[in-house]
Amino acid sequence: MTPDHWHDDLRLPDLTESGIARLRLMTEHPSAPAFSGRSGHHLNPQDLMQLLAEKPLLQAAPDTNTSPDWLAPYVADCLARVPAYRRYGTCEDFQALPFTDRQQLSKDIAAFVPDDLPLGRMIAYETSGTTGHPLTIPSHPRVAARYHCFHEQALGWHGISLAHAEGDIGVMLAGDQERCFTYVSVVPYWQQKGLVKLNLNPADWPSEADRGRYIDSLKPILITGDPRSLATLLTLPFSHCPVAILSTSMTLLQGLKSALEARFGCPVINLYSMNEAGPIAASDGQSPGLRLLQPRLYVEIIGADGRPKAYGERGEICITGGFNDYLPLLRYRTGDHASLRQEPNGALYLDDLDGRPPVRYHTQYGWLNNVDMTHSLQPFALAQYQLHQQACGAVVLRVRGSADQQALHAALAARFGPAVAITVLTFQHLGDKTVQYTSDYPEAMR
Amino acid sequence: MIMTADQSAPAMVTLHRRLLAAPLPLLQGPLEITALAHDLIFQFDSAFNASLLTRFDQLTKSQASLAGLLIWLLADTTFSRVRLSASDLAQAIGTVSIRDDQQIDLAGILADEDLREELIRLLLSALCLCPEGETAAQAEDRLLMVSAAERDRVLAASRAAEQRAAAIREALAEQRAREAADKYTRE
Repeated sequence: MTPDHWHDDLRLPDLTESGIARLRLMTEHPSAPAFSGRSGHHLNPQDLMQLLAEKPLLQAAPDTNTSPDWLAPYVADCLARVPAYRRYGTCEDFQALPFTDRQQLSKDIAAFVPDDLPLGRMIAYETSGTTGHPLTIPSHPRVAARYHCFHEQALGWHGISLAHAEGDIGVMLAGDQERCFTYVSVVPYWQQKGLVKLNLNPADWPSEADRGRYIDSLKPILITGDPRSLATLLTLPFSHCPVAILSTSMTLLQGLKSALEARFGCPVINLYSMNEAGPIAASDGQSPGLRLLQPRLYVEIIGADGRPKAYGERGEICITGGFNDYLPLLRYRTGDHASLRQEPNGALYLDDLDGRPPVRYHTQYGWLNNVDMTHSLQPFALAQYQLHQQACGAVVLRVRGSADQQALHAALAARFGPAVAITVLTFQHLGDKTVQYTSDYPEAMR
Repeated sequence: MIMTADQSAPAMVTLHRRLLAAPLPLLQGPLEITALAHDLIFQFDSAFNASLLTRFDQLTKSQASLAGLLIWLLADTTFSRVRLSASDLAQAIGTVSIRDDQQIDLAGILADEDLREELIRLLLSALCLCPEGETAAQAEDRLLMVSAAERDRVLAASRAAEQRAAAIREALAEQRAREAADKYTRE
């Protein structure tokens, strides 16, 4: 392709010669996969200046007060400017404000966009989720770029400075799906380093062996993916080691994390991130759990009765604030569950994070919840799994890829007792949005 | 306008009586409206910025007459327990009107119970106050019942909100058909 092919004022404004060279490297390499689409950062020089100016604010330490200073003005602003919140009237007591949830966003997302924001450069992210409520998230190129500030912050906790990392290719986003949208781009706020989103599915590549050759040639500074695609990386023969790996989207079990750390010799950072709110928390390598990232995101843990839980008590994660101007969140129930903990230095952590509502399992010894099951499965390097209890009490563990079925069976039998029938099945593919914990047993979803 | 329940205005009956007791010179004009506004606002906020009063120099004779009546209403001693800011007062006195395009007939307003009700409720709404004994929702409902101007305003606001929502839906639908901007993690 000629250099002119890459000039694209909408997707990639102000593309430099080094940016073009990186795009060509990523696409014209003999081992390169087929790319299904084109994408870009959509940022103009004003956006980049603004990003630079707001970076210190985005990377400030979160205000850990139970009622941070920014919260009341933020709520008042939401009530004045956002149609969906305006109907609340006024706010005398934050905890009296109604909750919002994914279903409400899905039903009428337009009502959550503030009145005065221009629509000309609005962008949309689509997400299917696991709840049956597909969602279109309104956003803006500047909002997408702010993710970088939070990733930088999380990497900084592990002693990694992206600004000083050497290499032409900044990020490789690895998927492992039947089909996914793949593209190459550059990161204008990171010296126009290359960004490649690819699918490790062999169908996308000239040959299976080209996957490892391509990674070794590109030498991406960061590799990001979900546990499924990261588990696939472990099976590929290549020698490149990134400076860090970011794992998102699904529960990362300790067994897989350890295997990745051993193979690549770099920090493997578990990142809790969602389309509605961006990166929320990440492992910091110092304390267990995931440390809250955003300075203007107020996190509550809510019980089934709708009341806030104390530190250490488990409940649904509910968030207020965020950095997406086009989707200000007010007491948004994420559907994910965890407990909140504060370290003596003030930092807040989410412990035992698990997506979706809690499920309890009936064992020979009584009830156990899904967090207990996660603990039992931690030693295994599972890329993806689903644990289901049938109405009769029998348990089925479905695992993607190869696994030590005997050891898994023993781990579950230790929890459930010898009287409970346990089956471990392995599959080459589980669904993209498989719910990890399910049950048909009576009263399991209490 | 969102009314709050954290402080109440006097009861409607008190305010009706106050309007009916308006002195004849107030109805006949002309009035030194800027001076009257100054004296009223000073009672609520003695440190207010005098530049707030410049708007009263630009009122038409008819608007000034109505402003005089509003000042009379707010000067009732029962308002002394209500906290009001100088800017909210100046804005309300200078803008509240029950008829946009017609000459305001003060005597006609005072003689008609519905028009009196409308004027009082518009003023309280502009000041984010509810009459004593009413919730914010009740006050808003009753204002909508008596005020054609308020109904028009709500209708126009509702129409504007619908248009905005439609524009957002259309823009999102258009964007869904394209790729979004780069993000380098899956969520």
